[in-house]
Amino acid sequence: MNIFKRLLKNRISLLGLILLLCFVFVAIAAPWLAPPKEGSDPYRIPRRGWSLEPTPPTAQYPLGLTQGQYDIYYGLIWGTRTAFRVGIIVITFRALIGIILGSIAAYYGGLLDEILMRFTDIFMSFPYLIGVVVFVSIFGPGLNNVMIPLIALGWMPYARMIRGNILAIKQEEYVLAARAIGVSDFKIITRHILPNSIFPVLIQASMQIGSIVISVSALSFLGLGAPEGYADWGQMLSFARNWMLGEQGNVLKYWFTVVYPGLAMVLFVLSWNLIGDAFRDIMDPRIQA
Amino acid sequence: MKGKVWLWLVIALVVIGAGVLIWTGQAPKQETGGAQGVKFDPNIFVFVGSGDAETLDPSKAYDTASSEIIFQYYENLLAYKEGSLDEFVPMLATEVPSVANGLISADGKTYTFPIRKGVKFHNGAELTPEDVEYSFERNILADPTGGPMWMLIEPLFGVATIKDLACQIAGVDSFDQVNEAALRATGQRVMDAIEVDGDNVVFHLSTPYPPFLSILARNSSWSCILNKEWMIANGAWDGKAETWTKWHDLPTEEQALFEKAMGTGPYKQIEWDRSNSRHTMEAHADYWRGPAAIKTVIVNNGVTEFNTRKLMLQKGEADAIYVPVENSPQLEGMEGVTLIRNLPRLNNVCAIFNQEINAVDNEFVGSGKLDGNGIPPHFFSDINIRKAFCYAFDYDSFIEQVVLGEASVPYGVIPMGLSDFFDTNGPRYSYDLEKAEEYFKKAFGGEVWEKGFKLTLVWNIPNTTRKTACEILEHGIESINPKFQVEVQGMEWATMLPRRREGRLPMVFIGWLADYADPHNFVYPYVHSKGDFMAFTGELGRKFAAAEFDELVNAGINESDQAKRIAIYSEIQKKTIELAPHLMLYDAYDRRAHRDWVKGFVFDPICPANYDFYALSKSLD
Amino acid sequence: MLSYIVRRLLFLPVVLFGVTALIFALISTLGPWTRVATFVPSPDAERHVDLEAIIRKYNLDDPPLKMYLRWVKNLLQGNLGWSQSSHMTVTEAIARRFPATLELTLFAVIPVIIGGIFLGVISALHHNKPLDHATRIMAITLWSMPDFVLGLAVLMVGFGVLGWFPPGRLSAWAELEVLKESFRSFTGMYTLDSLLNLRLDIFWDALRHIIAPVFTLACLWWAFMLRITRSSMLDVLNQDYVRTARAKGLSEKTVIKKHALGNALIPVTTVASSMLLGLLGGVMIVETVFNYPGLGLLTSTAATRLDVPCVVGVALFYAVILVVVNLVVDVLYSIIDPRVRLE
Repeated sequence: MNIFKRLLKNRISLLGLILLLCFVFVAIAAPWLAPPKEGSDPYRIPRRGWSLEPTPPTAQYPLGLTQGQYDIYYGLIWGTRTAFRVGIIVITFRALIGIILGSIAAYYGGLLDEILMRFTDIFMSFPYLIGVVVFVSIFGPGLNNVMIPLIALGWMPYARMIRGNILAIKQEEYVLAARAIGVSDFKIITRHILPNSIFPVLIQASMQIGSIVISVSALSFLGLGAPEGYADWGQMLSFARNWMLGEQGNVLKYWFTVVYPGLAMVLFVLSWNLIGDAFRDIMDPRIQA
Repeated sequence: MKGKVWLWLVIALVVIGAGVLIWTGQAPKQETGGAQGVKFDPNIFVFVGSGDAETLDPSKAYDTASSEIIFQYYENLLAYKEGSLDEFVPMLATEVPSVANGLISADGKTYTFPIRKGVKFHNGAELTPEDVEYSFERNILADPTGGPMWMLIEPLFGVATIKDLACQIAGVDSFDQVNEAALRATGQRVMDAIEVDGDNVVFHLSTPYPPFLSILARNSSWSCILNKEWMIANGAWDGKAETWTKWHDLPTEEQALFEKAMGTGPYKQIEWDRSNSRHTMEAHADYWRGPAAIKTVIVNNGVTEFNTRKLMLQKGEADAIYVPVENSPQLEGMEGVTLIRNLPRLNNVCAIFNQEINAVDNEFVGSGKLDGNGIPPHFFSDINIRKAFCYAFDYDSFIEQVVLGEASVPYGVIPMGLSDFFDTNGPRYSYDLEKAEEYFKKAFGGEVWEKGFKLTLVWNIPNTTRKTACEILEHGIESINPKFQVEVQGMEWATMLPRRREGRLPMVFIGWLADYADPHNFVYPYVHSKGDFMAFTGELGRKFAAAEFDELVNAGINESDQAKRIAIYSEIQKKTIELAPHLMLYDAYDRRAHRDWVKGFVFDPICPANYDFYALSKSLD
Repeated sequence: MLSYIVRRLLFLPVVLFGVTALIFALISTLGPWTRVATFVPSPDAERHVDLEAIIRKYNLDDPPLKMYLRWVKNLLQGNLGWSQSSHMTVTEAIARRFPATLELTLFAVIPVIIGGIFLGVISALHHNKPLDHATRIMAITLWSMPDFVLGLAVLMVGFGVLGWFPPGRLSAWAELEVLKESFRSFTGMYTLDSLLNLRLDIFWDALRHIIAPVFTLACLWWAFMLRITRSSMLDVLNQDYVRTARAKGLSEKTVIKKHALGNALIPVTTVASSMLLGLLGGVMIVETVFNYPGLGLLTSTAATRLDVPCVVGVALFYAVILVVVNLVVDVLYSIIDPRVRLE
């Protein structure tokens, strides 16, 4: 509770929290904010025509229609749900795998450490983006096929960080002492080592929810993300890529195709990053303001 | 602090560097032309496209990107007369054969070409009739799988591949069983079909074949003329009847001409930088029609981003770029740039009705039964369903909004580019939901209307034009009856291929780009029972084609009288509307975008290359 | 230490086996009819193609284990196979593309490390003061930008509006110069080669082309570097030994230089190495935007066309680099942080 209070006190994290709460609200209220057509998949953005050229905002479509006449407003509202889903699922699984493997490896050391770290090495030897692209190319585009490789190729830094921190902390006196008096392994890990080594992992994790959304959008840019027409900000941004430069003499003609989805994405990522940044200061008892 | 010194040093370096960069500005020896310091160099032409050639070997090349490059390096015996698709002018031959001048025999089976003298290859060697003979024999005997050589093998030997010819000669079923003697006989047979006679080269066809000259004409990369001596020196076929199997159907990269080129064309190859998808070529100084005006041409096929290409054109880094149809509005009105639209091309796009769907474990046909939750395998064998679908597609919206007017509503399987061959007052489909409803009610004795159906249309990623076509069709059909459900699904080509092959797709969205300018090249793949597209319609579809179309298609190819041919193709065209074997979506048009300083561009609907660089020059007036 | 390094290097083949086996395992889920698709460039190009013959010719219907063993056998003979998507052998493709990516990476790493560490330290020293807030917000905002949006924006301004920084690696005239025999290729990195050839005009041209992608990469990674340095510096500044040093009355400069900075850079080394690797492997997007023909572009083309030999080859190549760099980092780690023991 104390942490939460301090997060509220810090202006930067407060801003982040407010932003985040707005997004949470939009995600929850999506069916009311942008009611989907009855009987159809709500994540499929409705098309208001067939032309590729974007249509500027009108009273009926306040944020305009992007390439292919997909409704930007609708896409942004339902895209919020997609962003949360993808970010949270990927990060949870990554952090979980990383923390478990990293702490086991560091605490027990020896052969187990060796095996686990070589296992980590094998996964780390997979160039991240290339690995994801290969996976998606083989199994076809789609959000699930993007999330699996993002998890499988993303847990290793956490494992390494945890291990590094624990290796350093293991040598600290209070842990040596606890061990000497016969405290059980489980207790030492959960009471002493995890609280003292988990914080960098938490920053990393919170920072990454934002960058996951960016990674997915990068895949959309390469044509490997969500299926076309699916409510996903990255895809809406990649719709804009052919129109970003406008026309000669009117560079900003299609500004709405970039600005709205871009703003949604940057603000979403920003909110996580702001909180993550403040979190780090608060979680670390050694830093006093 | 020391760090500060470092920082200032870095900043200073960056500032100085940027200053020098701006000061040195553009490259040396470049003039400035047009507004805003756009670069102009009359000696270099840069074309920027997307998607590189697969090979430069004419016996294998069968994609536009490859033919585009081959076109600049090599030449053919004939060329199309400017602005015509059925008249020819001589090129490396000195006369166009006809029955009238006696160079085509009365039975239409022997063609004689007098060969031009004094034509120089890029290495200085002079063209001989032996080179011509060797070129055809070598390409035909190489006949790599997936290549274009069937087009020559068919008229010359009446079979589809050289392996088939060997089997026929040996009297066996499989190429593995062909013995040594029969292999030699096959080689000899090919060498006998094309012969040197003094200064002439003579072709002996197995049947009369009206489009034969089209198949030989310029723009046909498979018929271009190679340099025999140079070829043999570079490890190609040695010209002997008994050895050809050594060079037959080699992997693409092992073929002699995979990355090299030696022809008589206006440009000679400097380099194919495959890692950058870039071709560099230089004007051939001894070219027989006189050297080209533009000395150096760079074809950069490695720029996949349209934005980048557009900026390069705008800044004069590129003289011409490839523009996809959806992006052409962005070039409209760009200063210093000419955009030419609505160029009729020999290309059309259709959706094939699979008349006998493979329904085993098929995710695209719902329940696989006519129960409102699927379609039965022979759903599209009912003509009423096919016609209803044809009436449910909003042609005008598609053409206006998706391809921005650069297409027309088809009169059948032969595209507008060949409108000389059919009646342009003939029937066409239009978007008419009442008619569609009428046909849906008739289908399957009214059962379809009562129970409804469900099916999935599949488009190939990343072709979003086809996705929109699917969605327009979906929209049309679903607004007729709420019980009709159409789903649209995108699929990677690699995932789609096995499904298409197994006949699982209810409808196949596909386009056809002409190999040569003759209606036969459209009616055969589209409606002959052995054609490429009928292969996607199942056994029932092929039987239907054999009963309705085969006779007409064969009549068209065996007729040499032009008026009679036109009558036959008009009839086929009408029948493809009447029986609706496919949903013909649109006849596609083409466009070009280049700097205003590019002069001499002439559009040629059958030319594989965007530009014939020989015809171009650059000037600022 | 030495035995540790030797042991790790001996482990290299195991890692390589793991990586390649993993890819083959993934690929084994595809049928021969999917694999054959790379031989047909597009759905409309399947004309008169005897796909069955292609499958037979290239043994595409072999069981995955057999394919893998054949691949290993070829690898031992130094043959990585033919890349269908780039029209050359995989070895040649990597050899030609890698210098471009390396050039880009090296250019990006230097400003990122220097600038990132410097500003990170400044930010930490001014903890919670306006300077700290300003750099932090700038860094967070940059870090929140999708790379292709930033890249396109840089392209739009640098080339579209100003006309200074064109895409690609060289201008057309410079390409022709480089093709000439008088221009000797030493490294494949044009900026370096042109200097070695004493061709300043080509050097400027190459530099003009590389600035925009380098700037984009630097913006993204610089923010990352700054944040990590700041965190770690703050952490160290609050450690007991730094407080003790301060309490002893040592000058702030000495405290930072002698006690804090060295320790604060420990986690930074890990980050720097992962950044280097990330840059080498992850410049795919930036290369696509600026049409910079490096390994990233090669891989994305190969992967989308399911060009198996090329994808496996590149993955193998990266795996070697990654393992070596990681080993170097581990060794460095143990040198600067005596608390970590290499066993």
